[in-house]
This record gives sequence, structure tokens and C-alpha cells, in this order.
Amino acid sequence: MENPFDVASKRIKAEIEDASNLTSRKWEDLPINCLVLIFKKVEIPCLTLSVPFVCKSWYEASLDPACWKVLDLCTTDLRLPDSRFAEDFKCAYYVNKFSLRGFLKFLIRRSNNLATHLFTGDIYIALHNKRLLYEECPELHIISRNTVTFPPEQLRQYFLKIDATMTSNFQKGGTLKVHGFGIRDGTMASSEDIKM
Amino acid sequence: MITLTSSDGVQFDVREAVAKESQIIRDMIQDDCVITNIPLANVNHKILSIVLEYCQMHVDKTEMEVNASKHQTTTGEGSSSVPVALKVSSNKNLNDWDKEFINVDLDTLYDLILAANYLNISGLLNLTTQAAADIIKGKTTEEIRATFNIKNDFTPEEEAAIRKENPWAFE
Repeated sequence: MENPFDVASKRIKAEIEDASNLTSRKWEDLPINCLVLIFKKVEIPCLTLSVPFVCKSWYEASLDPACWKVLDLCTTDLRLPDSRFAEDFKCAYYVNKFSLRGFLKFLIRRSNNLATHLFTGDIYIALHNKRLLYEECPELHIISRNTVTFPPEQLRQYFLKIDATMTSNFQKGGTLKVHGFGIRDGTMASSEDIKM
Repeated sequence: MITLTSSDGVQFDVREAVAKESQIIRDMIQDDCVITNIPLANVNHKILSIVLEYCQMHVDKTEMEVNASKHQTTTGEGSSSVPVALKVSSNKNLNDWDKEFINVDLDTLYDLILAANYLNISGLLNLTTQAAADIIKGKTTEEIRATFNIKNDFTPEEEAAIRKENPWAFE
């Protein structure tokens, strides 16, 4: 029968040997531009929930707007309000209530209003949120899986216009025309329905 | 030929095209066209040899493509379909090669990031930072610290403060 102390000390020795296989480089001292280049390539959930809390230098680098210029939400579980991501976000940032709009504001702030692309995947971004994004980020293009293939600038103008006119005209029903685009019953018509 | 000398004094003779994969060396050569020996104070011979292997491979592949497309134009055969197919297959090979090439331990990866940054080799910098990002992906804060051997230097108060910065967005 082995002495439990021997077992423990063997285990500790093994752990120390494991530790010697660890990287001896100081990843916290990597130049900030290199850290930013790395973080640009990390997906949003990890960049939001894990990376900033690793250490001070990683936190600083994760705040660089360049990390948040191209935003891909495809890997972010945003089924509201009780998705895994929403729950983790609430824990990480001590917020009581998670909302997509709040999270979009967080992304806008992180990008310092310089975000250029937002890939929405299957997530539905309502009109008022699109307007918020377009107004806050002058360079932003929103790309969804279902986006009709209009030039981004045309789409952007369309959403800004439509949201402004919608409120006053929507209740009247029927077809609403804004700059040649058609909209029916408050939903954007499919590409075949839109008359240029 | 150009001689590159590593920080530990080892000399590497390389073709100018290979050395010019580095933006910083390209600039030096442009400024002074008779330059033949460049000392690299921040890269040791082990890392420099890996960096040069990368540059060599990428220059060779590009030259192969150029020659192939030249051949196509001179022989006057279908100018559109064949070169595209060739390019795609050669890009695929190069991507596979890159993937194999960057399969290194964390210390080497760290040194390669620093070397690519110092020498300003955009392809290598992109490849190495992508490799680091792939390791980070999907990990928790604790797992990242353990993998990269990073100590948490936040005091509990500091950590609480940065976590509390964002409630304004959700009000």
C-alpha cells in the first residue's frame, strides 16, 4: 500500500513536470498591435466573455476598436432572453437584464462607432435596431443571410429612410414606397416584389 | 544574393526575392541598392531559419504561378479556364502547407509572431496570429490563462470595476 503522502508528492511532481511543458514566453507582454491582430480573429463570445478578464494587458488590447470593426454574430447564441450567451453575459458584466439592443450598444461602444461590417447570421435585427446601428456607425454594412443583394450603401439609406417614414405612414396600411423600394405590411418585400 | 545575420551571429544567404518578403528589408534595399548584408538584431538563427523557410516557399509558389500563366499566354491556349484552375489548386496546396508549417509549440509561435511583426511579413503575421486566435477560441478565461501561462494581475476590486462598466447599455 502506497503512502498517501507519496501519492500526493508524485502527483505534485507530475504537475510540476507538466508545468515545464508550458510556454515560457510572456504572452501578456506581447506588443499590443500583435494582441490586437490576434483578438480581431477571435469570435465575439470569447472576445466578449473570456479575453478581457485574462490580465490587464489583454484587457487593454481587447478595448482597441480595431478588434470590433468586423462583427460576426453567426457564432453568438442570441436567442432571447435566456440563451446561454445571454446568461454568461449577465454573469460576466453584472447586468440584470440582457437585451439584443443593449448588446448592440455594447458592440457599438467597443468599436468606438467604427464598426464596418455586421454579419447577423440567422439573428433578426429589427428596424429600430438597424436604425440605431446605421446612425451610430457611419461606415457600417449589415449583412444577413437573407439580405437581398442590393449595394450596402443603398440598403443603408433605405433603412434610415424607411424607419423615419414608417412611424407616420405605417398605420395607413397598403404599400409604402420609399425611394423606389416597396414595403408591404411592415415587412420588407422579397427581392421579386421590390420594384426598382 | 543577400546575407541576413541572425542576432546570434549565424549567416543566411538568400535570394533577394526571398528577403524582400519582409517589408522592412524591402525598404532597406530600396533605400540603399548596394546593400548585401543585413544584421537582424531581434531574430535568433532558429526562428530566422523558420521564417526564411516560409518566405522561400511563398516566393517559389508565386513564381511558379507567374511562369505557368506566362506559359499559357505564349502558347496561346485557353487563357481563362486553365490558369484559374491551376491557381486554385496551388492556393489550396499553399494553404495546406501553411497549416502544416504553423503546427508548432507555443514558444515557437510566440517567437514567430514577434519576428513576423519585427520584419513586417504580412502573410506570416496573419498566419501566426490566426494560429494564436484558433487556440484562444472557445476557451474560458481560466483555460486561456492556463494554456498561455498567464497570471491574473487584476485585484478583485479592479476586476469587479471592469465588469461593472456596461450596465448603461441595458437600462
